[in-house]
Amino acid sequence: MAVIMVEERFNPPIDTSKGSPVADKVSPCLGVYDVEWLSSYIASDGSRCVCVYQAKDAETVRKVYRTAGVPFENVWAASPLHRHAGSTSA
Amino acid sequence: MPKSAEKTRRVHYRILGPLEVLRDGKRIELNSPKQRTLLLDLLVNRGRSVSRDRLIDDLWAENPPATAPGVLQNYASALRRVLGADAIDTVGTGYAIAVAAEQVDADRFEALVELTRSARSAGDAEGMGRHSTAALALWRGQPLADVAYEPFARAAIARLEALHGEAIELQAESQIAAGRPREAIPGLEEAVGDHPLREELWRLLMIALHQSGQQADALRAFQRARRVVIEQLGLEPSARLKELERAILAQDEAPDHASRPALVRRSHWIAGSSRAAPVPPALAGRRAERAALLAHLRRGWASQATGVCVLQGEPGIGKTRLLEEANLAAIEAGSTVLSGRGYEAETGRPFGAWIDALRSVGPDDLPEAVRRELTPLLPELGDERPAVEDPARLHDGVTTAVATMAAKTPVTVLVDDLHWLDEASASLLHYLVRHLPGRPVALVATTRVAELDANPFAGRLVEALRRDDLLRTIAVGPLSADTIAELTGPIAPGADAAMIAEASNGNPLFAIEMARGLARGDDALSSRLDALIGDRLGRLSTEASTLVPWLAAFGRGVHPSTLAEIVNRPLEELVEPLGEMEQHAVVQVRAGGTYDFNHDLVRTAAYRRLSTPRRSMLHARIGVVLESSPDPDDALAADAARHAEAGDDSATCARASVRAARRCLRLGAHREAEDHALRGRQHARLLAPAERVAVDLQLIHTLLHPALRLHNPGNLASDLTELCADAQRLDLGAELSSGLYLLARIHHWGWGDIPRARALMQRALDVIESAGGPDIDPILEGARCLAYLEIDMPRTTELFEQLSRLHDLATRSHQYQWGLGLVRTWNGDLDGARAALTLAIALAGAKEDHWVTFECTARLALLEIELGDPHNAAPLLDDLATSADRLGQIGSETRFAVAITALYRFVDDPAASAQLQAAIGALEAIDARFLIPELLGIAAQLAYRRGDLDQSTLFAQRAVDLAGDVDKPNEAARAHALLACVAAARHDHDSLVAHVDAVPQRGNTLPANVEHWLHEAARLGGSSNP
Repeated sequence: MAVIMVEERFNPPIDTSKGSPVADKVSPCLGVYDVEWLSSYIASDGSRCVCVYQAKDAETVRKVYRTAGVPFENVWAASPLHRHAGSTSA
Repeated sequence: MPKSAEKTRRVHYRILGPLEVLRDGKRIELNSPKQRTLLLDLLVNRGRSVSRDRLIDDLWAENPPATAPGVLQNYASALRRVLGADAIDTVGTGYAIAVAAEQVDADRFEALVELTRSARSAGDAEGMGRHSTAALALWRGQPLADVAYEPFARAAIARLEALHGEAIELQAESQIAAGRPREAIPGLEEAVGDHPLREELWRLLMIALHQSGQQADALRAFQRARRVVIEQLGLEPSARLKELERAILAQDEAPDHASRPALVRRSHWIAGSSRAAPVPPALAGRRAERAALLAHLRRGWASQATGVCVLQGEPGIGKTRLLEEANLAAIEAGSTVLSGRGYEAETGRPFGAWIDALRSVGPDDLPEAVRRELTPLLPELGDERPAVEDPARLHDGVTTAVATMAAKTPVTVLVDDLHWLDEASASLLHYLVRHLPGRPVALVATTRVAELDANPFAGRLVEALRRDDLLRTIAVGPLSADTIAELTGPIAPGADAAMIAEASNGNPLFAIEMARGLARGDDALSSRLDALIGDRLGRLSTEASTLVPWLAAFGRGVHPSTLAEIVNRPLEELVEPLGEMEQHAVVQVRAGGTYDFNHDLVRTAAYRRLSTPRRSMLHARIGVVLESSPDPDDALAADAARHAEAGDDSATCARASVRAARRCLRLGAHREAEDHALRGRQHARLLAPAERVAVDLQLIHTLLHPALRLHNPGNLASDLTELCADAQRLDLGAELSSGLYLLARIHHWGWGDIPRARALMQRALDVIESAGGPDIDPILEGARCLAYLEIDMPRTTELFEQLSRLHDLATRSHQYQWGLGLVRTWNGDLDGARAALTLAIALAGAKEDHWVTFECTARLALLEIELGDPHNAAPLLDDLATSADRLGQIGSETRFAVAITALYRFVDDPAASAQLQAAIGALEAIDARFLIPELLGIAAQLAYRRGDLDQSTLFAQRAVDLAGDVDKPNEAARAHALLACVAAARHDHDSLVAHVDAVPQRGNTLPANVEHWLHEAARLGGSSNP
């Protein structure tokens, strides 16, 4: 399983107090595609967001978004970069 | 010209009033009445001679003196002496006046009326106005006044009066057409007095009053006209006039104007629309605020303003009055005005302020190109009622509409009481502000600071605008004592204005109420504002005061016809009391012709006077009326539910909540939809069993909408189980299938329990087949998803077989055809798959579902390539590229389309392998591994068929590795089956066995193509059952 980042833009900006509406929308598909939502980071002005998922690959997450009809900016697989390690680890 | 003739020519005769004769502008006095009568008789008959006998009859009637012929001759001679020797011709024994048309005002009048008529035919409002005004300037009163009762003058007087009436009509029409209806009213009022049976004057008066925002006066004018015609003619007014009355009541465009010249049709008919804004009283004080506001407007119209100018201050301080100044300035500047407002009671009515604002423009002024986009908000613009899949699209539609209007004339957007905007309206306003810089658009809003904290949506909007430097605030503070004196002086002359100013803290609304109280002799200086307003309301007539509680409970502007229905009285009976309330500044007519309190503080005061049981009764009645009103777009449902709840009418509240939630979902207002559904469920418990089951299921359906967060699926599932049991007990087939489906949805999407979900779906379909049932589109989507992910395909195939028995799916649903194509491919029915996918592409294209179009085209292209028939695949590749382009570069579709094209080339050209590898590399680069095993599997098949075992092995081995990574067991199975074939062809028995063993052995659950390759391996390996 990989960590997948999804970048989203919101126009109009979303209400940040409500959490990610995208997470709500895509959640029905997550179980079926075996995708797990880990966390989301929403810009304080509500104009953009990065959602983090665990999935087999980035394309699975794209399919979830397409199925739910949710637009996205970019989807990519990522690895965490630790401060002291100086290298990536999965 | 002889000198005497010249002298005659310089004489001018004025007969449109008492006779005046002028030479070179100087009056010529004709002292003898008989001499004047003779001259008037000749003027009436100008252009022809009048016999001596007739003149004698006219001058002396039945008692002429014996000397009459001689006296007549003397009068004629006397006239010649003052007017000129050539002025009177002797014709036989009679006389004729020698006069040119320009010498008689009546002739000039007639010529100008004729010019006005021509201008009207040419659609030239300006010319109409100019000529009619010039004509009416000649009118000095009763024409031929000196001889008004003489029989010889009657026909001429009647003709001139008719022309006069026509001139007034034409002038009024030009003023209305030019957007200045108010100017037409005085002339029309006078004219209906002079010409009470001239229906066209009444009609124009009604229109002018209506367009000036005096709806009640317009309706009263109809009643006056009706009385006149009944009294004088014993008839009812014409159908045309009655139709106009109906149109005013309904706020329609006057339907009879369809046949009028274009210049009249262009005018706005809706009272309260931007161009017909009632003129408010003069603004007291506020010079600096007004200057700042106008400066903002001018910057906006010059495309230099960024953001919203917010007028901020306490209730009653005069924010709305300043907003009216902005409206007047905008109208004067020729700007298109969109005017909406927030209502405290309207938070459940998404986009409420914008619906009002767009309607305030008038449907003709909304750009044609965006009408379709606006139909979710303004259903009157189209026949369809499309759902809003993506709120951003609706935002785009409104923004484009405003931008298009701004391309013609600058646009002014006015939002009153921003602090009460609903979430959707606030979000749309924010979007508009961010997307319109550089356009000639000015935005102004009013807000109360304290209320902003209570409405998180408006509060956040203001915060966000401030942060982005898109907010310009004008603080509207207390008025000075002098200005308060200016305001209250006319109301309470002699009252101590300084004390009023102090007691009211410089709040003009409060100060005016105090002045009114003092004028009544009350001790108003120590009263509270709501007590003062209450006193004033208490002084309304019984008729008017019975309407106050209903208006207060309604909570926002109400249309008179709705009010009539609520109070259960004929509309005509409301005209007088509403007029009285308007006159006493208790209510005013707002956009769309609704009546609303002059100020929210008046509403609050009126509402506070009601006891709790009375409030409840009023709300209950309003709820019932709204719920039973024709409402195809569910636009009244949110209000109906709110009132029914406040009126403790659970049944109405639950029913209305179903429709309110449905409308919110259509508008993409998900939070509001959830609120309505949750509230409706609370109230549904009190319904009778059968209705309770139906209503509750519909509300749960809303809660399970994919766009909504799924709360407490466990509770919902247990409620659904009970509802299904009830539905079965009550023999409600449609409800039972709906409940089973909803349960399936929770098991499927909520818990991922696919076998249980499928069993429930199948049971739901059983019930649908035997008893009919609900909309099964959501079931289809679930079934299609199972097919897409190839989950338990034998049972999914059964599900599709069951679905295929439902009559209209085949021609209607792209989801069904897509799923059917996938199921048939899996089962090896390739012709059937081809047909289903082709139909799915056509259906998805019609619905502009680009992703499904792409997916089905890709699936069909891969099917053709897999069959090794490039001729069938070729035409699909262009379509594939086009639909990928439509989805943009953000996804994987463009790269996948390139890979499919490379695979297509690889059918005939082994060298295309490099291209295919590169395309696969491009997919790997964006981590689209999910797509790669299938490409590799098909490539391995193509290479194998060509006899290129090495390349086939290479592709198949990679497919095996990747399919494991991305959990594609069927692709792994195909690759192993191919590798088994290669091993068999190479007589490598160990490898053959290893690959056959690696294929998951799950009875009959393998796809047809895997079965095919396994048989191939068995055949080559010399065994019938590998």
